[in-house]
Amino acid sequence: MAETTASSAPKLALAWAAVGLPLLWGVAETLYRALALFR
Amino acid sequence: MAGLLSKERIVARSNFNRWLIPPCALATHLCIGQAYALSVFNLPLTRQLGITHSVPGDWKLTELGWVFTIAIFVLGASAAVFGKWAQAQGPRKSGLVAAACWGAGFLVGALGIQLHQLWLVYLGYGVLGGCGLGIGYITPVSTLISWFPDRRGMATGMAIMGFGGGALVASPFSDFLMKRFASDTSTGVVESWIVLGLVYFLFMTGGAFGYRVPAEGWKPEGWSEPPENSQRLITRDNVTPHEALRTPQFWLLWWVLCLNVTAGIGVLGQASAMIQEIFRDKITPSSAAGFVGLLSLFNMAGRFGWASLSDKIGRKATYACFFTIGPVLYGLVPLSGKLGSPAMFVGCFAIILTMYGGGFSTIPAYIADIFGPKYVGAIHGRVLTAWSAAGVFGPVLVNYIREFQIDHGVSKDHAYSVTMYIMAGLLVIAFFANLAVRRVAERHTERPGKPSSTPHGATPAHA
Repeated sequence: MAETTASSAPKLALAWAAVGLPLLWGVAETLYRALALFR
Repeated sequence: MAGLLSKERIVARSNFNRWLIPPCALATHLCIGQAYALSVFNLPLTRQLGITHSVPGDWKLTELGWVFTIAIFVLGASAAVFGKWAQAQGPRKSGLVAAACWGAGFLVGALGIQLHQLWLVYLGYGVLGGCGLGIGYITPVSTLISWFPDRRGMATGMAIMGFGGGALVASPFSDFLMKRFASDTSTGVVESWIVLGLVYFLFMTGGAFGYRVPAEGWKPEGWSEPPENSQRLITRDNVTPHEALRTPQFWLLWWVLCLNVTAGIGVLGQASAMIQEIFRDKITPSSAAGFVGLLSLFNMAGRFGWASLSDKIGRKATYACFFTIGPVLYGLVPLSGKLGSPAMFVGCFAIILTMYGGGFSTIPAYIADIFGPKYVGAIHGRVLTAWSAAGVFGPVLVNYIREFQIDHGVSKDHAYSVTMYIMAGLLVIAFFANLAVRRVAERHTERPGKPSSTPHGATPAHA
């Protein structure tokens, strides 16, 4: 991430949030379902 | 419009931040990864006419299974056919075509469900959507390798991790949509497919317009091309897609991928039934569903983890890990049944699934190392036909072996043991195929002054 410039930081945050948040939601949902295996 | 989509239009400025490219790749792969979650629609699709229960005329599960099989087959075929085109046209145009095919595949499929015409679902999701899968899968590969010559494995692993992660998002999202649209007269599948088609089209289009290709001669700051390393097989030369087919290395990598996928895909489809039949008294259907979810997580994590590790230890060594650890774990699965240890069973499959995912995500970097980075997208597209073959071969092999044993009096919980030993055997064969991979002979490579054997239309990754 060394080459991050001031102007690209908001773009980077937005781009990674756009893909990261749905993915995190999917992972959380899957983990929640997977808990059934350990009950 | 053609200008807007052209490769020349998206050459990055000197201060462009390369870390903006992986989210674009993830946007594509997260959408097409839905394919792994298609099974959430299977049961509702078997009661499209009866709504609450299946009635005569409703589709059977065996008929619906072909939707996924066709899509995976077309994925490999379209990646092979359009790989060269996608690389030549650049990621924006090919990404947009993938978005259009994938989105339209859902819409045509929804029409097929609404009209209760299964052939239209095969055509829509299977063929049109399959083209979206194939073109979308290869679209970011060469772009990522151009931007991350110093971390090829990590970069492509990140994108291909998205394919694994796509199912994790699509599965609960599809459940939510079906519940939202279900009524006394509808299962909610048609409406869900229309929403999914539109959402995926928009998301993938956003990703396609975010792609940039590096300017000719661009290199990461402070990075210089490493010296050629015969031990790690990394070459500076390039082999054209046409010429690659004439090398033994191409076919060795094809078999490496095919056998790794066959072993993984064969057990993925059976995981839920397998754990319930082997541990009849300990595992309920709901905990078996949790097990399948856990496998998806490990599949996704392996895609990033193993591909990143391959940057450190080399691709050949990474696959050697898969093909030595894998057979041991497959061999331990029947033992876990005998010992009555679900924890051991789950642990074995979790690691196996990381290696299944890792096999997919490390192959683009392996191809770039062996054949050079210039035509990696096109060659990767052709290697992906191995996935098509495995997609048909793997489940058939597992189902056939299981049925054969049950027909011959073997109990259901023991019927999987032979399957596991055969899967271990496949990985041992893959070990030797990987071991046989050597540097490509110089006569196959493009060299300055040497006439190129590139057929018309093939252009370099970032020409």
